[in-house]
Amino acid sequence: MSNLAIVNEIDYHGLAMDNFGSYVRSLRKATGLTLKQVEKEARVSNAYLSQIERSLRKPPHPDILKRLARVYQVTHRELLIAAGYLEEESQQIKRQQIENAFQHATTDPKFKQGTRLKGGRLSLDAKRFIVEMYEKMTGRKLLEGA
Amino acid sequence: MDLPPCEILPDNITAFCRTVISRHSANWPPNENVLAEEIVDFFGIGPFLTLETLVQLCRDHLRIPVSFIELPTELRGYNCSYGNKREIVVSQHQTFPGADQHTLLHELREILEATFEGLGHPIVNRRELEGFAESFAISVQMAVAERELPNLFQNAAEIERKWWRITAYVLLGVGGLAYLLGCALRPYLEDVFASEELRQRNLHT
Repeated sequence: MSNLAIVNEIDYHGLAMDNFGSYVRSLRKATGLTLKQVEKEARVSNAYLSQIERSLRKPPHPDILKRLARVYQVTHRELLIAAGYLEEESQQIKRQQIENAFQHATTDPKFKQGTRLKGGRLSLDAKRFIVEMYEKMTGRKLLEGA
Repeated sequence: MDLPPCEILPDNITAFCRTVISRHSANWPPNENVLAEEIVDFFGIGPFLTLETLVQLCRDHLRIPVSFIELPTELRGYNCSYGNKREIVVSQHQTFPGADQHTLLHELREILEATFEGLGHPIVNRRELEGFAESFAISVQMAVAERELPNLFQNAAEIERKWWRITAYVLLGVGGLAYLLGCALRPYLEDVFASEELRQRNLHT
């Protein structure tokens, strides 16, 4: 788990949902199991599984993914990444790069900035935007292809 | 994300801030209503406040480049200052009526604060600025309307036919009240609208 980071669900679930459904369906097909068989082995309702496969539900809780991983013969980590709970190492590095650049920009005493927010927190996209504005105003490059 | 080119322009906004400081140094800091009155007077904003007049105020009088671009969803607007460079960016996806001009005024207030800070006369601390900028945005819109309404009533008083005159009074009264209420409640209504939008989106996913 050391090279992985817990990802904010709001940022990633929306993106992960469509792909996750088809991904778990392909895993089930590859093992040749029916939904009822998965239900029996993983102790997860087949109706719920069907909804997940059709992207009608968000990816399930990590505990459920652990049981599914055993049935689908993949690692728990693989399912957590597919569900958007974990980042791959390269994503984690990019995120860290943006966070560091954001920290740098917002603590530069010469750089004053403000926002009008919808909701109470800044997403990684918003932080990247602020860093880009900082780069534009100061002429300094903080992000290298992040 | 494509950002508009950055401009370095003469520092006209400082003149306004210096004027406010000199007029109100005895009772510093001024409240948001006072600041709104000052900016309306100083730049002769009005008779009607539209997005175009505000953009013109920022670009031509305050020399602040303004752009309307696609922003990350949680950002309604953004402003920044670095030395004598200033910029305001407003989200082009604000669907609520009047939201873009409210946001522009909000961002303008934050830029004013940065200038006041630079002149050694901050009005609020950074953590409270968001709330003050909201009040400023409301106050400017109300100040412009409050100045124009008496003129409109004066014009209505000159209507010779009695029932036309009364109708004009009623329309002005109702319209003016609706406008002032709309200005005051806009931030709240925007949040309600945004929450509902989010709820609907979640229902469909």
